[in-house]
Amino acid sequence: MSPAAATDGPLLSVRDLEVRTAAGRTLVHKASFDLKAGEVLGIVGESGSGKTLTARALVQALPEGVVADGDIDFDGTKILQSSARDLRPLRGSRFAMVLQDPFTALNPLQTVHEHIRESLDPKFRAGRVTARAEVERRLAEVGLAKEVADRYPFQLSGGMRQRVVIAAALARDPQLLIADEPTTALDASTQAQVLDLLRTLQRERGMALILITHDLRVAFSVSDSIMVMYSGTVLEHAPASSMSAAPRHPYSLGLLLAEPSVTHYQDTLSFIPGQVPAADTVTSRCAFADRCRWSTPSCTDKAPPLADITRVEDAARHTSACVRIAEIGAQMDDAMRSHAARPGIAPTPTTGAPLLQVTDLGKTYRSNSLLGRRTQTTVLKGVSFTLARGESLGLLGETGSGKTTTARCILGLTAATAGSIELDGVDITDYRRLRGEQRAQVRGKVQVVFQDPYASLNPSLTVGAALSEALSAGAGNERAPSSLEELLGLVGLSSSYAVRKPSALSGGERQRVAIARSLAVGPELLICDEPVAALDVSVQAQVLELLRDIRSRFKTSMLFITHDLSVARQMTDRTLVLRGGEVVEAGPTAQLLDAPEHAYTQSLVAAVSGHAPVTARSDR
Amino acid sequence: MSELTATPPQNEADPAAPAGSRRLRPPVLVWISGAVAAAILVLVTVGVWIAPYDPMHQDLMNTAAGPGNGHLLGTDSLGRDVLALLMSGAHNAVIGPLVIALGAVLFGTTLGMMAGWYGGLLDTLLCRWADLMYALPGLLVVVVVVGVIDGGYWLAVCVLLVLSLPTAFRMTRSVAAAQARLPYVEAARTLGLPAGRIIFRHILPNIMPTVLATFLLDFVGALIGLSGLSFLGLGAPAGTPDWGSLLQDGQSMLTVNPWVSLAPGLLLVLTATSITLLGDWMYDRFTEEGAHR
Repeated sequence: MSPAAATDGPLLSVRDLEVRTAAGRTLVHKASFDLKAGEVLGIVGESGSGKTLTARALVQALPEGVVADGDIDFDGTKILQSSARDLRPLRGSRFAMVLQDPFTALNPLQTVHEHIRESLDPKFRAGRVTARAEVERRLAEVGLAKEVADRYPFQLSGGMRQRVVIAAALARDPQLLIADEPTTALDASTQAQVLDLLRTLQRERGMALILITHDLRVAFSVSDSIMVMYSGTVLEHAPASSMSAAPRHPYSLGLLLAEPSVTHYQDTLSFIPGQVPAADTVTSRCAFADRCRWSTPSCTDKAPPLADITRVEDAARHTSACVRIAEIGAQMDDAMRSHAARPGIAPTPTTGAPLLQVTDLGKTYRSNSLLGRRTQTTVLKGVSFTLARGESLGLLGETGSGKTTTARCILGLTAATAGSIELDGVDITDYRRLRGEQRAQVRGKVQVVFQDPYASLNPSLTVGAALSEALSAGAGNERAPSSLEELLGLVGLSSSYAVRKPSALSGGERQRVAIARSLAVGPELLICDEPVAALDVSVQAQVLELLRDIRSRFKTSMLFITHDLSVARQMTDRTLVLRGGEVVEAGPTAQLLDAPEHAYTQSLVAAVSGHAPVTARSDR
Repeated sequence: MSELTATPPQNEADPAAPAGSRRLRPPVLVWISGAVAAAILVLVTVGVWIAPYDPMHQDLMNTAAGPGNGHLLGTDSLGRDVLALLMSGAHNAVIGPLVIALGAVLFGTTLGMMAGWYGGLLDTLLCRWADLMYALPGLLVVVVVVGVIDGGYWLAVCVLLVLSLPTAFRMTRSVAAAQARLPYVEAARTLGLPAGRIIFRHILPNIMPTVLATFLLDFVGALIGLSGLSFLGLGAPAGTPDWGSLLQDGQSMLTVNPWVSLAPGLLLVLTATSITLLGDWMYDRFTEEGAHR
């Protein structure tokens, strides 16, 4: 091990990194980059871009059956040529990793103290008193009280768990921290706090940080430079300020534009058409060419190299893998400018006859413990709202706010314990009390699109079988589409999709099929429960556009459940903000997001605009 | 918390997963198991026709003889050819367990899916019933019932069937209940599809690996159980060839012709092992496919 790197040389230098399956399929192709000590690199990409594999290769933590090739120089150590045994002393003390899911990263049987103590330097670990003091110091560093040390993971919130994971990763003061989607599983306000913490810790220690994320906003808020990966290739590597102002690759531009705006309504949501190709099919051409509106034959002749295009306004080296960037740069700047300068006019809330009326809705779970002690958990309390015909109403809230429970009550998937729900004049508070014929009618009026496109389709049925079944359930309704072809056409899929099984579809396609299934009965109310939260950015906008199209075509009312303020901004006329099972604020979406009145809404808005609210250290 | 688990980046590591897990069980073993199972199946169906002798034919010149004299595995105390007894005994040894496993899976799965789907009181009642059944000492009950009523082979089969129900019930109940909470089933509910359709069209195909595994495990359990009863003289009626009773017969002549006991014992072990291995492999294959869906 050499001492700390010479002042100017990079801490980490990666050259021509290739990641392949043992069978020879390419997953990452020729990735090269440098990282100086104390720098933050954001690796941005959609699922399948190879960002996680790249980062895992850096610390020899690839999954079984995947091999890496190339040169990785970490402060004098050739990582790929070292044995696991040689690397072991470096792990934790020189580099460490934080993974996405704080809910599974901690051993449920160990207290926080045990977790952190285990990662400490041996000189602190040995003594009981010194270890205790050191653990408490580490906890304080990540903003947790010392009492937390004696708790078990299940007693902590997601944000607190991620803080514990970070404290454990930093327990031996590594020079490099790799954080793989560290905030993806967290709520927006917690997300902002954890990012803030990572940034602060990184600055205080002068530690290098690699942040892997699918979210450009997250990357911008923390990184010095950003590397965009797509289908296993690096397409652009730029200083964060240049990337956000003037991206120099059509894909980076597409990603930026596809991000729905949180500050204003957009008349049309721009998206990148098509899908991500498999990495090994694009090793000798531009990976993005098929989806690029500027592509010419020169793009697919050979793999475009990552060329230096640093300009005066760039704070650091800027490289792009677009061979046509000199010709199309000006057009891309235009696209950025017109995107920013075109705030659409937010739709005025519809004032039609009420379709859905929810009054004082309440839901309480009771459970009896072994000793006969009763515990009650109230998840919904006095929720009231009216949804007009043709209106799109947003239910905005974080995990545990009761927004999904509200939807499940309306759908009859769970029974409310208080209040009433009326749909089109029929009391549907308890579906079991409805007469068979009446129930069938109600079922045809309200449908749902769930969040997880992977679990919302039956894996053993083909698309055609699943949709035909839904169509036959809706037979007789004049709003319902009459044929399978028509139904598939509604969601932009060709009829050849009918014979496919869900396993052969991408996430976006699955979500389209799920939407088609809900449209099959010609519903008047469509409940969308986080329909794009599990999709990649470039696909999100496609699905949102589709839902907008359906709404304008069929005058379907929508109840849009989301944690994402920008989705609420783009998709709803009115929004209710839920917190802890209660409505804290309601109003026209534009007004509510521009000038929030309730402190909670204000903190939500603040968290997204990039400033973590100082007062909101609500993790206790 | 499931609400915010955005993009599943784990997928990136996916291509690696199958290669590793598949290598654990060499297909060679599976092929052998398949061949053994197929051979047993042939014996079950036509064993009595292709046996070298009529299993009841007594070669009185060669009683209790070791291998030789035209008898490949020798003869038993009554001079019957051991190989012929084995071949024609396969029918009794296997048909009963097959019926038991089929019945247990048919009824157990139906009950399990109903309990998993409807939940509530029905679920509670069925589960308590299963608990009660578990509390019974299985083989003892069979011995007492079959011994007292003296009903023979098919009564033993019936009793064993009832005793295997709770296992099949519990296995399917747990997986069916897990499926019932998945969004695709809830979507089917909101479409207003009838319960029967949801259970058989949506839930059943997706729990098939478990049903199949339960079936094969039940079969193996019943094979051993029923042969055990025959060994005690409570299974196959006297005078019909059966592996269990052969095992018992041979006990007294282990020194003269050990094959009388050894051969049926080996056959039982071989059958049980190969079926278990096959079931294990099938379950892995199906669930692996499922994971890749």
